[in-house]
Amino acid sequence: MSSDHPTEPNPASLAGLSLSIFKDLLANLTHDLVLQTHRAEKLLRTQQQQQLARIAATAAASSSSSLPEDASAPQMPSGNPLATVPPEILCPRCSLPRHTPETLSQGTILLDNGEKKKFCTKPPFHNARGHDIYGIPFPNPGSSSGTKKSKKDAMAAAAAQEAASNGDTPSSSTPAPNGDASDPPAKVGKNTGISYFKCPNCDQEKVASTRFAAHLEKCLGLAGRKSSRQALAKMSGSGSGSGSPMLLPTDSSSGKLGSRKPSPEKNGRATPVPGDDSSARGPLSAVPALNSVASGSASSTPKKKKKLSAASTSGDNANLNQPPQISKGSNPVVPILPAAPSFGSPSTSVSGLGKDSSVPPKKRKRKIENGEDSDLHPIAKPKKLKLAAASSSAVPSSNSGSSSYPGRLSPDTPKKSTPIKIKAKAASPTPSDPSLSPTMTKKKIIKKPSNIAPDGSVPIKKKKPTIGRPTKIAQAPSTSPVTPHLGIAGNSVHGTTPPSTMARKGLPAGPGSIN
Amino acid sequence: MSSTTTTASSLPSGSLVLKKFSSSTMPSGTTGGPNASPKVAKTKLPYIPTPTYYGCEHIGMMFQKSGPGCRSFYTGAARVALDPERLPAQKCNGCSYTLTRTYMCMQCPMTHCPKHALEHSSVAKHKFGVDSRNGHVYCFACSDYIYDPTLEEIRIEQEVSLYGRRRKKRRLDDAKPSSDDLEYIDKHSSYAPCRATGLRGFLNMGSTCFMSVILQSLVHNPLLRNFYLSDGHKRSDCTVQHCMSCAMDEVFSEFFTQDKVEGFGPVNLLTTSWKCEQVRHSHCPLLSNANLITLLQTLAGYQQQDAHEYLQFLLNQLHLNHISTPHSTSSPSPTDDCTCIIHRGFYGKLQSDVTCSSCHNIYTKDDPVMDLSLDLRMKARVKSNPNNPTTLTVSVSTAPAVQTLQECLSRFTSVENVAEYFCSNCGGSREATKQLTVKRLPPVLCIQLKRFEHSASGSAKINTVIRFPMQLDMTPFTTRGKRKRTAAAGGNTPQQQQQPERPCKPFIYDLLSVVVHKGEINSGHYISYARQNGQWFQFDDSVVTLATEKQVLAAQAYLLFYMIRTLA
Repeated sequence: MSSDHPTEPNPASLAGLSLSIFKDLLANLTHDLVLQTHRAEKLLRTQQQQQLARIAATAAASSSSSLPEDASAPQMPSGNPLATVPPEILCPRCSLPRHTPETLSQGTILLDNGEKKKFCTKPPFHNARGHDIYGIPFPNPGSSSGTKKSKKDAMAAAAAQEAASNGDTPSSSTPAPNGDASDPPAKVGKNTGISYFKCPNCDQEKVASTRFAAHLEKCLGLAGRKSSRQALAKMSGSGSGSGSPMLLPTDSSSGKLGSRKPSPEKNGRATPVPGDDSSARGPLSAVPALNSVASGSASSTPKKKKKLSAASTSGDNANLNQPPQISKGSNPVVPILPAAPSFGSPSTSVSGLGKDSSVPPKKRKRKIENGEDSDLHPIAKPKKLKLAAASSSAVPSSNSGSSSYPGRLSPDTPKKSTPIKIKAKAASPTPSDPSLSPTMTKKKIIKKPSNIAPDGSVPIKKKKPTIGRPTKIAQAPSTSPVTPHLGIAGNSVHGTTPPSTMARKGLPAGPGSIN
Repeated sequence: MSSTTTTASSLPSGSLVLKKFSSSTMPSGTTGGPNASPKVAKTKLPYIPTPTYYGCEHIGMMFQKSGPGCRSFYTGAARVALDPERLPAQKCNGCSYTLTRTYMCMQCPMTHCPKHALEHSSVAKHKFGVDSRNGHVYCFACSDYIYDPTLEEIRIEQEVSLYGRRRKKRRLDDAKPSSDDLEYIDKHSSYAPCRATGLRGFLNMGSTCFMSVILQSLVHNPLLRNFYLSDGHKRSDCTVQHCMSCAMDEVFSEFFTQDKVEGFGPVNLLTTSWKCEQVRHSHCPLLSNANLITLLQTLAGYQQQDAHEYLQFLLNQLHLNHISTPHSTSSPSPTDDCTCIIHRGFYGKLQSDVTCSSCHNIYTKDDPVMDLSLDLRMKARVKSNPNNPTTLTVSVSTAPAVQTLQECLSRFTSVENVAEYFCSNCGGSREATKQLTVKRLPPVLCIQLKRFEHSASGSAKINTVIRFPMQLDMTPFTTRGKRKRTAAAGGNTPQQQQQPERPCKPFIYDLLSVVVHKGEINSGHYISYARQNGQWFQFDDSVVTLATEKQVLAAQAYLLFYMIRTLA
C-alpha cells in the first residue's frame, strides 16, 4: 500500500488522514464479508446442534413415549456452537450424515455393530476434470465403443460403489423405480450419454437420445416433403395411418371414396385381413426358421419377429393362426387362408380395424425407416405404407402381409442357398397364387371377387398391391437406399424361382418402381 | 443481507414437495408421485415442532428477565442501523466520529466504538451491542456475534420494511405459516430425496442444446421453480392437449423430486413443443394445406435453433396454457393483468417517447416486453456528434473495445433520431427523437445480447466481449430514473437532484443464469450457467460441472437472466 511503510505518515497530515480513511473503509468491507460467512457458519452449526438435540428428543420420546418438553419456550443453547467442530454435518432433511470427499473415498464404512454406515444421499460436489459434479465422467459418444465400454464399466463400478456406500440409496445408474408412467422411462445406456426413449408419437421403442429430435421431426412430419405430407395425411385423413404422398388426395377423400366404393370392397378388405396376415406371417415366420436352418443371419430373425408382433396387434384374429402355421411350415398355410376370413367379422371390422390398425403400420414403417436390415425394407415398407394409407387398416395389413411376404423372402433367400428360397416361395405363395394371379391384373376385376368370401380375401390383397404400386413408385425414390436391394432381391428371386405369381407381382412392383 | 431478501438463489433448504392437499381426489400423486416412496418416508423423523432457542445463554437470560422490552429496543436500534438513508453519523460516546462500525448498546442509549463498547460492557454490565452497519448483535460475554432467532426476525422485518418502503404494510407474518400449518404440511408431505437438487443436465436429443439452455435457465429460476413445485400447474387436472405447462411440470418434478443425476431427456417437452405448433396452425381454417406444410416447416421446434426464439416460444406457450386451463381464475385478460406465472415473472413494459422536433409534442406509448434485446453495435450517436455527417449514416463499427452491459443498456435507452415521423399534433412528417425507457421492470429480467446480425449481405456473429455485472442496478434505465437524470442535467445544481423527493429504491438485480453461445453463427453450441445457493454451475447438455464466478463473467453471453434481489 504505502511505499513508506517503515515510517507512518503523520496522522495530522493529509497522507495520514487518507490512510486512516482507507483503512477504515477497508476494515468495513472486510468486516461485512467476514460477518456474512460467520453468520452462515454459525447458523449452520446452531442448526446442527438443534438437530442433534431433536434426534435425541425423538429417541427419548420413542423410548419413553413421553412428549418432549414444551417446544414453545425457547431453549438455552449449549454453549457457542462455533466452539466445537462437529465431526460430521447432518443433513437437515434426512438426519443422516453428509458425505465428505473423504468418506466417499473410503467406500463402505462399517459401524461398530457391523452395519454399513448410512449417509445422506446428497454427495459433495465433485470438482475433478472430466467429471461432472456427481463424479461421473463426461459422456463421450464420439469415442470408439471400446473406450466407451471401459469408461462405462468404470463408471458403473464407481456408481455401484457409491451406491453401496450410500447404503439405502439406489445407484444413480439404475433407471430408478419411479412409477411415473407418463414418463418415457428411457433405458439409460450406462452413462454413455446416450439413452433410449420411446417415441410418444409412434410408439417406437428405443430411439437414441441423440437421434430423438430427428426422429420426432420425421415422425411428426416436420422434416422434408415426404414426412410433412405423411403428417398431413395423418392430420387430415382421419387417422388413416401413414399415407404415401401419392395417396394423399385420394386418401384424404377416402372417407368419401369409401362411400362411393361398393361396400363389398370394404368387407372384402376386412375379411381378408386376418387371413392375409396369417398367411403372410405364416410364411414370414417360416422364413426365420428356414434361415436358422440354413445358418442365416441370426440378427434378422428377431427383427422379423418384432415386426410380426407389431403386425399381430393390428389383426388380433390373425395372431391366433400364426403359431400353428409357423410350426407346420408353408403348406399348411394354404388351408388356413380361406378359413381365416371367418375369424374376422367382415363388415364391422372395417371401421374398427381401420382406426386401430392405423398405428401398427406406422410402427412398421418406422422400424423400416430406421433401417434394420436393408433387405427387409425394400418391398415391405413401401407397400405397407401405401397400403396403410388406404383408409381401412385391415387392408394395409393384408397387403403388407402379402406383399412383404415375397419381399422378405427374397432378401433372405438370396443370401442363402437358392433351394431354401425355392422352398419358402413355393411353399407360402403357392396357396394364394392361383387366386392372386388373376385378381392382380386389375382392381375392378378384383372388386367383384372380393365379395366372395374365401377367394375374395385373396384378391383384395392384390387389389391393394396394385393400388399401392403407383404410390410406391412415387415413394420409391425417396427411400432410395432400400430400393436397390429390392431390385436385386427381386431379380435374383425371379431368376431362381419362377413359380409363385405372388412373388412376381410383389417383386416386379418393387423394381419397377425403383427404376 | 442474504437472509433478509427473498433472494433468487437460495433454494429453501427444506424445500418441501407438497403432496397434493387434495389428495383424496388424486389417489396417485401425479407430479412427484413416485417420490412418496417408503424409502423417503423411512428417513423422515416424526414431526416435532422445531424448538426455538436463544442466540446465546446471555441473551436468553436477558429475554427471560426483561421480557418484551428489549425487543422493542432492538427494533429501534435495528431501524437505525439498517436505514440506508441515515444521515447522522454514528459517534462514539467515548471518543470522536468514526468511519468504522459502532455498537449501540441494547440496554442503554449509548453508542460506542468497538474499544469503548468493550469497556462499557465490562463497566455497566451491558453485554450486547447492535452493530450499526448491519444490525447484528454482538455479545460481549461470548465475544461473538449472536444470531438470535427472535432478533433476527425483527431485523429482517425491519430491513424489508425499510427497503420496500412503499409496501410497508405487507408484513412478513402474512406469508408465514403458523405452527399448525407447519405440522399439517409436515404430516402430509414427503421430502424429496436429498439428492434431488435440480442439478441435472438435459440430454442432447439431437441438436437440441438451444432448448436445454433455455430449460436450464427456467429450471433454476426460483419463481418458476416455486410455482411448479407448489403445484402451480396440476398435471392430473389438466385437460389441455399438448400442454406445455404439463411438460414443464414434468421437468420440474423430475429435477427436484427424483433421485437421479444423469441427464434428462425432455421427450414430452420436445414433442409438445412441436405439437403445439402443429395444433395451433392446423386449427386455423384459413390455411390451405400447402400453407400448412410451410408453416409446419418454418415453425417446427427443430428449426428454432435460436435459443432466444425458443425462449419466447416457450414462454408464450406457457402463457397460453395458463389461459386455456380452466381452473385458472383469470379470464383471458389483456396481458396487463394476466396472472400467469410467466407474466408475473417476465413481463415488463417499455415506454417509448417520440418527441416531435417542431412542436415538441411527446407521443408516449407503452410496449409490453418479455425481454430486452440489446444492440451490440456502436451506432453512431446522432446526438453526440452532430457535426460529423458521416456518422449519421449507419456506420456500424463493431467496437473491438470491451463494452459493458450498462453501456449497452444506456445506448438502448438513449435518445434516437427518427427521420420520418408523422406528428399527429402539428400534422405532417417531421423529424423526431425517440427514447425507450423501462417503465416497468419484471422480477426476472431477461436480456438478449444481439450477437447474431442478419443483414442483406448475410449473417454474422458479433463476438464482442460484453462485460456484465453480477449485480445490476436498473434504476438509471427506468422511465423514472431517466426523467430524474434529464431533470438533473437541466438543473443547475447537480447535488439537488440526487435525492429530490422520496427516492425510489434502486432496482438491484442479481445475475441468475447465463446462456452462452459458442462457435459460429451456423454451427455452434449453447451452454449455460446458473446459480444455486450461491454456487455457479455450468450446464453443457447432460453434463453439469461446477463453475466459478470468474468463468461465468468471462463467458460470451447471449442471454442474461437477472433476478430482482428483493420483491419487497
